[in-house]
Amino acid sequence: MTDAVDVAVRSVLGTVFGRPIALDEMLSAKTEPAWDSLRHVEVLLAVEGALDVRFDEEELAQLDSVEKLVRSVKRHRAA
Amino acid sequence: MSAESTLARAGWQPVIFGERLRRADLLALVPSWPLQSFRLHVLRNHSFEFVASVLRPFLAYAGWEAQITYSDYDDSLSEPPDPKADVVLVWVDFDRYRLDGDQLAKWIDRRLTLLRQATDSPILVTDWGADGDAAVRFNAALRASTERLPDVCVAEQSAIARSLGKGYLDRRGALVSAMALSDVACLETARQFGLGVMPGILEPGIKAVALDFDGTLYEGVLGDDGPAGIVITAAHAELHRRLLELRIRGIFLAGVTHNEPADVDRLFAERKDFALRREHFSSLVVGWSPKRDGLRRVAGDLRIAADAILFIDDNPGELASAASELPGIRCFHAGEPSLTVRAVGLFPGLRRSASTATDRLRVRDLAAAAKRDEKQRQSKDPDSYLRSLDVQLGFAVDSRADQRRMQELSNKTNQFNTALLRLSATEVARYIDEPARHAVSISLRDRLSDSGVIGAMFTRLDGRRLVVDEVDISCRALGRRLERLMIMEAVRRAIGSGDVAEVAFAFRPGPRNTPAREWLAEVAGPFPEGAGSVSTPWNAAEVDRLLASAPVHVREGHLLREAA
Repeated sequence: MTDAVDVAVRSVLGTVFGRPIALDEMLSAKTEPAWDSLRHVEVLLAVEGALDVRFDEEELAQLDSVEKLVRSVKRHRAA
Repeated sequence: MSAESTLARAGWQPVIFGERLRRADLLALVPSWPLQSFRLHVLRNHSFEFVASVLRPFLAYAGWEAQITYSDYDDSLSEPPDPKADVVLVWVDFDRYRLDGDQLAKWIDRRLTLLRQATDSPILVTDWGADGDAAVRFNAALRASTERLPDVCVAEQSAIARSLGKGYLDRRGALVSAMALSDVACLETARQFGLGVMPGILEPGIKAVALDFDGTLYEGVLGDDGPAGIVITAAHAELHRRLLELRIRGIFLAGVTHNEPADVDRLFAERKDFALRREHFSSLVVGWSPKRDGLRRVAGDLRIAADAILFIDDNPGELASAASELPGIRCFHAGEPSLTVRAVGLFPGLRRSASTATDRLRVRDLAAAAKRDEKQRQSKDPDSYLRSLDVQLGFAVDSRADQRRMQELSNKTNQFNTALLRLSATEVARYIDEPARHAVSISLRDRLSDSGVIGAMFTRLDGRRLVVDEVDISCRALGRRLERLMIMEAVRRAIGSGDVAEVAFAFRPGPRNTPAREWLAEVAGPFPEGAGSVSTPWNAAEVDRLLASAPVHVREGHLLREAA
């Protein structure tokens, strides 16, 4: 079943990195050469704005993969 | 801009002018139209990258793309600017300094003075995005510094900070990036820079807003619903108010509407809540001819080129037709009225760093032009026509007060511009400051209106030869056969007590400066093709006689310019 948050996060990441992110791609800062420290902040800001969430200060540096971003968005939305 | 590009740009409007900006939506915008490139150098002590990434779509909407270079993070702002930069941005987080507001103001004044000496490019400096006493005092001092320095202007982060309140800063970001601005502050800064500030520096502004009526200024169709049936929503009322503010700042309002003239008369007579009155429209074209023709008439009435007009209409077909027939015209699709309200505040070319006295005079001057034309038609003798107008010409040599206006004339005048030098503020300052160079400003007033400073001449002495590098005369002052008088008196004042045998006028042909070329050919005889110069012997006695018999009054300075 399609996970709407997962799709939305991948869509935002696709916009930031300028290429489509497939639903089965395990995208992270380790696998994506363009995911540097500046782009990391761009990712966080873009995801926050698009999905109407606000990440906690202590988790900002840790949200370096699609999986972690999706998990955090869901947690914030559920809170 | 082509019809396709115009409609593609209209598709961006909900994102670009939206109440809430979203980074992902902005990053997804890719322009399908050609862009003009410019080099932006950022001298900074904090990160600009998160503004820069979203600056791109706003600039693209305005027709620009920036090649951005950065200094290191440097609180001393001591790095020399990129010499190839077209614009230098001083992007400063003033919270980082351990100086009080007054000390900080003195320090930034010295830095900007040195920077001004190091580059000829326009300099944009951000103010302190805070509202404490120190920041308020500092921002006032910063503004005073920028008014003293040519071509240095302020980007008001303080205004963005005021509008966002506590949302302006986000200290979380400082942990992972060298920046304390929130995302929403970055997005709004990018919008202000990309739509307002940068286009205001890079290109001539919009001089007129031409408005459709039905579906744009109100809901409904005047011809079907009648004046009583149209709906002026709160957003429409706000739009009217913003349009009137533009008019006060010197932007013409024009109407181009497919309606019966009698219906429009009734609208103005019966709807007292319609804040825009007939007299607010400097040109009003009512009828069923194609709107592109109406817009041509507006341009003629206002004596401006179509590329100085912003056309707002709720019908995309009309926008496409105007864009394809009138090169350079800017278009906005009036859909959701709140977007139109925001566009009137933000549209590229509508916002300038400061509205000048000349901007405000322009609107009043136009009404007098129609009466003047009528007098000229009635008069059989050109001299008696000029005498009847009681024309007064004012001249000032090397007037610092006219520096901004003279630069504006060099950059905006197209028809009577002899060399199209498009001088920067720094270059104009050199003509004012250097002993062998002069900048002469010319003002015009007659019994019908005060036109303000309408001409500029830039000269330099080369032995016994006075080289006129450029003459600019506003189109508002053309057609009264005053060009010869204005230029000869300006030359006489530039020469002063000097010993000059010859005057050489530099000329460079452009797409629209035929009037300047024809005048030079008349004065100096046979004229070379292409760029070059033409010379004429300087006979001071003959020029004195010409001026003494002229049916105009010549005055020292521009004492009348700020007259109400």
